[in-house]
Amino acid sequence: MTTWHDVGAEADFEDGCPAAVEAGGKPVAIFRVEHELFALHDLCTHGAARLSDGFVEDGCVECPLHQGLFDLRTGAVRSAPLTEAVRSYPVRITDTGRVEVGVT
Amino acid sequence: MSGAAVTLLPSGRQFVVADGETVLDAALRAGIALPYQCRSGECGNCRSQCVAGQLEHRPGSTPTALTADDITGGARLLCCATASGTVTLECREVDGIAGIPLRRATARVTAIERAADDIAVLSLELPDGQALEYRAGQYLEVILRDRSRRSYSMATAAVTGGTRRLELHVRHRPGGTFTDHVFGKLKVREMLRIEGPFGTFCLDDRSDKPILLLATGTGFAPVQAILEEAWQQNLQRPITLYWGGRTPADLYRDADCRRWAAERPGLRYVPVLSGDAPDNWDGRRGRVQQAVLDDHPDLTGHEVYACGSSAMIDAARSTLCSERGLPTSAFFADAFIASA
Repeated sequence: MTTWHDVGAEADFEDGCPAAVEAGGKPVAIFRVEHELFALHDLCTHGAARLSDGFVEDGCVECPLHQGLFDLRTGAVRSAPLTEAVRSYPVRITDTGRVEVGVT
Repeated sequence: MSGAAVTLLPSGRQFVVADGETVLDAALRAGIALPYQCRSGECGNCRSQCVAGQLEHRPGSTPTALTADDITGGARLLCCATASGTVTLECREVDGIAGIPLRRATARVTAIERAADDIAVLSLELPDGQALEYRAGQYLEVILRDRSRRSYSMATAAVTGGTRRLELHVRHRPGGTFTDHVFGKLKVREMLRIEGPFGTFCLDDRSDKPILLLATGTGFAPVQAILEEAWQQNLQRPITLYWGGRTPADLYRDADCRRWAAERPGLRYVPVLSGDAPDNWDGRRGRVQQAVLDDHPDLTGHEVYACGSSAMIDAARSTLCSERGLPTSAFFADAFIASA
């Protein structure tokens, strides 16, 4: 069952500014690309780095440690040296403009 | 053919230069800390003397820091030079740079201060565990989305083991992709992609000569870092800072400089305005290199570190060396390339 966790107001999340939040006790990185928000587990699957410290480009986040790319939408690996996908979480925006992340 | 074998004097170190590669890039790849700054022929830091073999500036390069006579006499700029066969060249090596790793990282903007209408002071923070090691006077490159790069000097000194807080001074060049962004949409918390450190515009640790620092505009940034590093290390060499601009607003940290000079017996500060100075201006008037010429009849025992426009650096190098006896080996420069 998915539990939805409030992580902030929609306006808190801006293009080019990944944010580190917590949802259901898990570290989550929130990314905005134009009108869409994406949520990934905030830990690289390769090195000890937070994806919320990464650079966002072409629908991917680049890990700050070794420049591996994860797909923002799915968490899938898009480049070496990564081999393991990162967990992706569903995101929704409520009628009152709050951002919620779903954790199962 | 496959590359050249280069021997460096006086150290005797050897390295291989691949076809098409510059001698400087090959040396840096081999972990040899040769002096360099602009990597485009303007600053003259990577000047060397060809002793034997074929060392030529590659077609299309612009070694403007050398005169035709210099080149006839065997001088070469290693950032512009390729080698073939077996080459012996003379070039000094820089202390305290070898072993500092070149790193790519992302940096988060933590503050944007408008120090003047066209000057922004950016504070950046690197992620946990990703401190950047560098020496004062070195620079980093911001990597833009189109893969082009912009160079900015770190404006504060690093602490031992590296620092996570960086300060950059950015002058607005309207029409330029990056600086238009900095002066338009850039926001606190945005990420920038960087690589560094580069360059060797650093104090020569083996020297005890008095130091003259010359800056124009945001050439002040590495100079501020050099001052901080000198204070961290309790350096005893006398330092005079000459900072030139057109208007008082160009000297965007003038008040700080005056305070430091009042507090620190080893530091003298000489602000210089080349444009319209206010009636109550108590600094100097004219060009910054002219102020140095006026103050120093003899520079044979000094070291000069100059950062700013290439016009200022060219004028300072030629006049201070030819008219005041400053050895060319005691003139260190960081020339701005006008990319925006």
